[in-house]
Amino acid sequence: MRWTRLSLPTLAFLSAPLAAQTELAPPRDYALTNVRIVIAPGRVVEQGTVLVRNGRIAAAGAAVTVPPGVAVLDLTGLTVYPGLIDAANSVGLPRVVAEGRGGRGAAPAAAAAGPSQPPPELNPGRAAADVFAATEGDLDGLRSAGITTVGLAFDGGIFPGRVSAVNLTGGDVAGMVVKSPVAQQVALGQRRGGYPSTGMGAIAYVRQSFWDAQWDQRAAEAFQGNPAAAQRPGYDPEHRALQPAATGAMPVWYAATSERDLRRIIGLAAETGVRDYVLVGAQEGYRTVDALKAAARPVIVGLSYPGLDRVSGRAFELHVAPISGTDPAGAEADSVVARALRANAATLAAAGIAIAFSGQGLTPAQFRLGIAGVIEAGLPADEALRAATLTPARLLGLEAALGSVEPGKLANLVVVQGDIFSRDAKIRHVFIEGLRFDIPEAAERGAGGRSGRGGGEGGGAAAGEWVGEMEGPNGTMSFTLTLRAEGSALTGQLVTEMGPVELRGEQDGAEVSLRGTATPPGMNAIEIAITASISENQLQGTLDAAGMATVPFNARRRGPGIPAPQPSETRTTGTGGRP
Amino acid sequence: MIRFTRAVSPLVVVAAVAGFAARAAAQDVAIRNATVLTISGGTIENGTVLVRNGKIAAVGASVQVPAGVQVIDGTGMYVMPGIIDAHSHAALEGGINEGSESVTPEVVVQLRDDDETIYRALAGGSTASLSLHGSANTIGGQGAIIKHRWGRPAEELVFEGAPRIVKFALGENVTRASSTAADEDRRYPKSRMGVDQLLRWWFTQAKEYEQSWKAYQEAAKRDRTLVPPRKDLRLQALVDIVHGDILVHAHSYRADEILMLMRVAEDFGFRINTFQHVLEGYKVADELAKHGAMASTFAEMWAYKVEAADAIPHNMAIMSARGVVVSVNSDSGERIRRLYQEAAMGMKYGGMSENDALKMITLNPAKQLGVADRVGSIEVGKDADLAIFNGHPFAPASRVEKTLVDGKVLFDRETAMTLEKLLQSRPRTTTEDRP
Repeated sequence: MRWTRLSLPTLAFLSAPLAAQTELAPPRDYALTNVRIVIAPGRVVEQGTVLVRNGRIAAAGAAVTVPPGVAVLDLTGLTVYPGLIDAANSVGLPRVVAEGRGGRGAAPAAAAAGPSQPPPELNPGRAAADVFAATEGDLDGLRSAGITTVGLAFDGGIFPGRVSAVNLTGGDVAGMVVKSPVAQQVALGQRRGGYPSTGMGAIAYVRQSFWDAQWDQRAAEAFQGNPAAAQRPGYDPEHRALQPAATGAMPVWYAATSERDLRRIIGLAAETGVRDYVLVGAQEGYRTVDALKAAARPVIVGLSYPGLDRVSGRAFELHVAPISGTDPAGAEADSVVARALRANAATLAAAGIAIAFSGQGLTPAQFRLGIAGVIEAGLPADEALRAATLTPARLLGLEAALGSVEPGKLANLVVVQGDIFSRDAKIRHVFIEGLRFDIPEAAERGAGGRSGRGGGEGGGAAAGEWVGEMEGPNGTMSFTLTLRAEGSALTGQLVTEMGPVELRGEQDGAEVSLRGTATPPGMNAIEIAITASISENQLQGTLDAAGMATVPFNARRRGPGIPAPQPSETRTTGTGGRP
Repeated sequence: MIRFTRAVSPLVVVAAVAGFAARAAAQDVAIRNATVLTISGGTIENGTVLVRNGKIAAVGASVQVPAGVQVIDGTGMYVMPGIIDAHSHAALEGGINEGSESVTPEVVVQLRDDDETIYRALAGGSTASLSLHGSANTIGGQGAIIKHRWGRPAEELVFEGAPRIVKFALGENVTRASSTAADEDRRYPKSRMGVDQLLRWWFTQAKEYEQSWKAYQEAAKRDRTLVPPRKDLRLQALVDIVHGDILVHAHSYRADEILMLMRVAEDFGFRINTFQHVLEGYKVADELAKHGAMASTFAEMWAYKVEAADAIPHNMAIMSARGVVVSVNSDSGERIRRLYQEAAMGMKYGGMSENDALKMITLNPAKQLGVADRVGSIEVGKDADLAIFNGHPFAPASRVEKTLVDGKVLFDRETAMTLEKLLQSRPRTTTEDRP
């Protein structure tokens, strides 16, 4: 809880000018004494003082003189660390994939956004900071996990926007932004209602767009140099926005999870002449070490791992798994994959690849505990701290300002009882640019929303009846999903116009995973895998039809006032599976 | 000539960047005492096929097997070239149809290595295939010719040196004849007339694009400061099609649309390499042969929609007899396991010779894929892609015992990961066995 907030109920009864005055001048001068100081990975002062003046670190060490007038906090028995940085997280950002009906029959997202607005999937000029709207609850949750800075990065899309860096001080957004833009984001997502609507289309689109941006610049320069003879260049806002990234003036952050997407991205970067880039996610990086080493680019490792059935190479084994009963061999094989995923960051670091961490898709507490898991899987603790402080600071272009407890840097600090990445550590205080936040006991666990899922609390029972639409490559299809729960285990049925599919799976917090086998009339059996997140009465996720397509879907809990779906009003019959 | 696109698929680029993982040394192997169906050089009883370094080193009845070469006893067995499927959608991810627009030749299919269809294909003696876009678009995009190198990373599936291939489509799928969407939501073209017109519009654009580059290259000789025209991947792909650098495989059914597409191609100076499905090909077999188009069809699949109604099982035999190079394809993860049974129907319907029927799953699809110099027959110097059957492949009870790709046994019924064995003890194919 930020100290100024404590008095807010009282302040509300006072005059506005007084409240404003109080808000304007919170103290940013502290002396943290008798504290163990982790200045940077491998640099520890067992007992010393950190002096914070005007929001910056003035001194840190064993022999620091505290000037008069500075508030002294005796932190005996505690450790102060540099503030943690979540290098890539969409907390407080709008969804890239818009709400509502999709498919070819639907209005493109661009039309929904307004006549002059680009579709959210293709909006490279948009900086995350400009659309950032985290709640105080979001910020409290992040700070409670020791996170002081976030690299705001959109989740999904193709050119969803640009990364911004914010310090989690709260208050107005402008005051939180430390750097914007940081980098151009690129992902191999799908666009609704227009080209490119597939991953393979996105690859072609990204390639063409980068070439276009480079060509635009060349044409503009030629026109500047010789307006009398050179062709007057046109203006395309998308290409103009991509120009800094396409010409090396701004780094590119490419999102990719799977082994094959990582290899595709590395190839695409080389093809389009992009050298200054970072890979984000890279959950299957351990399968791609050769290519990542050769590319020698930093990796922001996502700590939210894909479902084991989605990991490359696992599909074939699962295809022949017994459909009922226990499967000890399968469980063991799963744990091999699970271990490899958890050791991903360690594997990359051991190969000499610079890593940072991303809590995308996780709660803040899960982010910190995820790092604990990475250490348990073999990453040296110092390397983990580096990946949560100095390296992300560098990737955000803020290495001079953030990432260590050194004089001159912004006073972003975490005071912890215990080792910061131990599972029983207690975050006690957080300082962000010298502003003090005291973390109440037990605030850490479960606090804050899951990022990238609308910032809501997440969760809710999966059991019940859901109605929704999925957006296949060939149009929108309505469905009904009925689920029964027994503990965390789920059973149920998915009904579409293709017929019913029996499902079984489980719920883990807000996450639901289900699988089953569809047998559409006249077609081969298709393995279906559903992963989704529940937010109260919304269920959002993807359905993977093995070997054919991954389609996003949205569903609503059926209840009073929620009408049953109309039978396929605008469905366009596709050609998949039909010669 | 315009050559800036580097004329390679992204997959190849990825492979070049990533570097191929060291491949296991090819095992030298000899198959002895087998009946060898060479396809190009007759049938050899009690023959031997010697494989060295992944290539066929010798074939004949009296081949000496050098010391140190592993011997497979082929007594009672039949050896044929690895079966080639000219139409599948196996091993793809990232979408099959880029259905947002009707002409997207710049979109290249993306491969995945963990599609079990590859393994099942091997179990049916199939060693290579053309993995194509779907048929939602007039020009869908570029497909991938792959070898079924099960267990290797996706980029190593690519049939190295094989030509680029683009999928066209005609008729009901492209015009969305069965769509229930409201009229205003439907995409151009809505009719076969529209498909004709759209093709002509795009190839006219491509000609103009090529002209703009030629004009630039001419002018750039005098003025080096000139800015080149904008690179357009889509138009460049169309230019490459016109120049024959990308081979056209066209999904088609009706005789009229087949004739239409050949006219369009001839008007713009290129050739349709292969008509796919081509169920009414028997009506225009002479025209196909004259154009130089090949045909890849089904043996006995028809009447699944209106445009597939007027088909006959003699289609393969009639087109063959009229001089068209004919293959029979799977278009399915199921039929890809038993293409030899499909080919056998060429003998049943229309009386094709045994060797001509076998050609429909070996040498002929190899020609259609532009890889006949590498695969499709058992000849010295060709890739050692071989299928070993326990009887004649056309005998109903025969099954594949071993399948070799590049001289390596990738399917072996003795040690196979059959469903039964997998259920007993699940060997892991995921994380550990990848270096």
